[in-house]
Amino acid sequence: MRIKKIEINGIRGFAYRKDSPHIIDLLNYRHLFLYGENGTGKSSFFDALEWGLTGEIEESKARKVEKNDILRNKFSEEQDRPYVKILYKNRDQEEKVFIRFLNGKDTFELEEIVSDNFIDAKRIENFVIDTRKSLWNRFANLLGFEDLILFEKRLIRLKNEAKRKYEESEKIFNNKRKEIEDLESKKQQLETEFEEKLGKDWGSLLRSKEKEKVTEKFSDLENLNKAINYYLQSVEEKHELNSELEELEKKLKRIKSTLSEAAISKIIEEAYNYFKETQEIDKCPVCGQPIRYKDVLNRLAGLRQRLNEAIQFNNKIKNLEDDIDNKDKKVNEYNSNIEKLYLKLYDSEIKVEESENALQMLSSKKGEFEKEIEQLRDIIQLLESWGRYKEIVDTVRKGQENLENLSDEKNLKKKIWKDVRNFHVKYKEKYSETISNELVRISKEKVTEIFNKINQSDNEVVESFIIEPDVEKTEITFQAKIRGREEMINAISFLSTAHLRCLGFALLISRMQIHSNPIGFIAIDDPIYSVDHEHRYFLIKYLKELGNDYQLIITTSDRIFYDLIRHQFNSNSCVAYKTYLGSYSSPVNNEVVLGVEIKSSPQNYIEEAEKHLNHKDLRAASLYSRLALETVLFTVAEKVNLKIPYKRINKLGVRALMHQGLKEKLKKEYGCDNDIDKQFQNLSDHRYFRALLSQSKGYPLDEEVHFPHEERASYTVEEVKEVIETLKVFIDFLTRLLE
Amino acid sequence: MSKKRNVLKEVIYIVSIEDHTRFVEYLLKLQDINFGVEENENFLKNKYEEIFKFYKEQEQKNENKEN
Repeated sequence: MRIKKIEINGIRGFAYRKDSPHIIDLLNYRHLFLYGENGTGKSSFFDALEWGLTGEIEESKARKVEKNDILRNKFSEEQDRPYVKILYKNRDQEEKVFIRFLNGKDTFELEEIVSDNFIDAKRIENFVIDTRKSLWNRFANLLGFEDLILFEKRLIRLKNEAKRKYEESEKIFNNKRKEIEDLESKKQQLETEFEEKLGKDWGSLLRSKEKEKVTEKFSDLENLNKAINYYLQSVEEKHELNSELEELEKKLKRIKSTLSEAAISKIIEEAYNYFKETQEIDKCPVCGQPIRYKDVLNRLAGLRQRLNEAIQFNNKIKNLEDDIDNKDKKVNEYNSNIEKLYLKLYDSEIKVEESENALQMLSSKKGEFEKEIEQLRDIIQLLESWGRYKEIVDTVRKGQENLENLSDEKNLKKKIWKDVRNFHVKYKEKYSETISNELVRISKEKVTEIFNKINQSDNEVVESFIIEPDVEKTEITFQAKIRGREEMINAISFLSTAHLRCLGFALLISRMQIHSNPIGFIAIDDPIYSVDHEHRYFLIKYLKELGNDYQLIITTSDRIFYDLIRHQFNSNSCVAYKTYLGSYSSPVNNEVVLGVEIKSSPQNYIEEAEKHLNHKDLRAASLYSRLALETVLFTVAEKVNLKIPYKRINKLGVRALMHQGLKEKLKKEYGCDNDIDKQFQNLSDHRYFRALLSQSKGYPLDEEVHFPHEERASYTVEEVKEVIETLKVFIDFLTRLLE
Repeated sequence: MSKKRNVLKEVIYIVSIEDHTRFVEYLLKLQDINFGVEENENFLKNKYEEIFKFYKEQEQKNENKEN
């Protein structure tokens, strides 16, 4: 595919202009060189072309933004329909038009895949600097297989998640199963217990029992039993109190029969006090009879003590009587309770009396009640177990249903995990094969050849590269055979950063040559983006060689590179554009504007040379001087109709013109031999042009004599200034002569 | 063919020929968004519940067919 015309409207930096889209017309020129300072829209052009032909752009991936967001011009209106339209010639030399609208359906498909024809310098740079990544990944990214790696990363995360989810569900399932097994075991234990206690028919027996009624009866029986206990105890205590009372009453009666309590008490007190205070009395103070003092005193003391006892007995009797009354009340109360409860429980009456027989009967009943209470207690316990049993049966039933669901979920999750795992294995196998096959397909000889061309150095020429992928391990063995050395060496540790850049470039070019139509185009965004000055000249030479077979579309922000590359080609074979910021469609917005670059002329190159000299950039100044010389000599060659062998036309330079006798032809056509000789001699006096203008056969014609950088250290500002001044005179002389 | 050569799509298609699983069926539904490679790294992981739902629905459909 050869590009003829590119029309861009509303894409990236190119504003949407309804009736006047941005057009790059290659007319009948073969190559396109686009120069623009940073931020003036070179990449916009490259992206528009890439998207127009492939539907994708690398930039959106690099910036991780939505493709349409980056493509649509920021000043375009909602109703605008941004597009890229490309007029091209297909392999059958038919002219075709392809148009791709943003957010629109492609009208038709291109016949060939051209994504490999776009060489992105950033991709090469990542290959060089991304040293943290494995070689496998670096090669894969360079060759545009990063999607395969990115997808695998996402697949691995999904696989791990699927595994985690499966294991989690398996754990939940096992826990639930264990829980159900434990419940089953408990259920079994209870069934055994029921059978032991109630026989085989335990189920219907337990179902017939109403727990509330049994519990109520149990509670009533317990209360009855308690009431009987209290009753019997109270009756016994009452009997004891009665006995005590009887005894006290007897004692009191005995004392009372001999004494009037109050009188006796007073007399005895007075007599006792008298005798105690009046000692040595030998006659009774009442009857005068002789008495023994001590005997009387002792008798009085005894009498007083008995009297006190009688009084105490009296008090005790009163207390006992009160106690007995209370006991009586309680006995009656218990009695009533017993009768009520008995009636409730057995629906018959019971006669509760304090007679010995009645009490005996009650005691024996109490034994029966206790037995019955024990039986009821057992039944209540069984009923409680039965309740638990029923709960367990229900939980087990629900659990088993749940377990079935959990099992289904677990199996489904296992299936997902296995499917993802198996897919990953197969995917890895296939994607490794894809990368491996691509590396195998890329001709290693070609890679080595390109590498050596753009990396010319006599001492370190690589004889061959070995790039061997290991599909199993997704590893790459990358070795180089260096001329003059027997053993292979680890290329990664051997190659410098610049070497790696050259290798990256060589790989992409080699791959493009395999995949692309042999007369296709090749688009390179800033090919010197990461190439040092030393290698640029070799790169330019290689691009020139590449331009013999391919249509070159090159963008750059490096003015010198732009002028040099443009100069390599006949002005009839290439068209040059420049981008700058202007305001075409709106006076306010700055937008990318395409303009045809000023045609190259010796005067322009002299101006550039002087500009660079002012900045002390001697290399650039020398280069522009040389371009000025070449331009003027080509003009002269054209004028004098100098014949040049066809096979050398592609490697034409100053030396080729001189060798073909340009000076002689000029003298022949215009005369003034002395002036011409003098002018050429003046230039040759400068060592910078000496070898170039020499007609000696010391250098083969198809090799450039030198590039300025080879002797750059020896040039001085003054020297280059003199070269430019001499050249200006030389150009002026020839221009006037031709006129 | 005008699209950029989509190697990922090619590889997944090749695998899908040998691997007839529901997962592949589900995956092929994501081809319009290039299988999520432009999304964040958890894109597929976050799709797990959706994948599970998809499997369940397919199982259900199969059961219904059998019945």
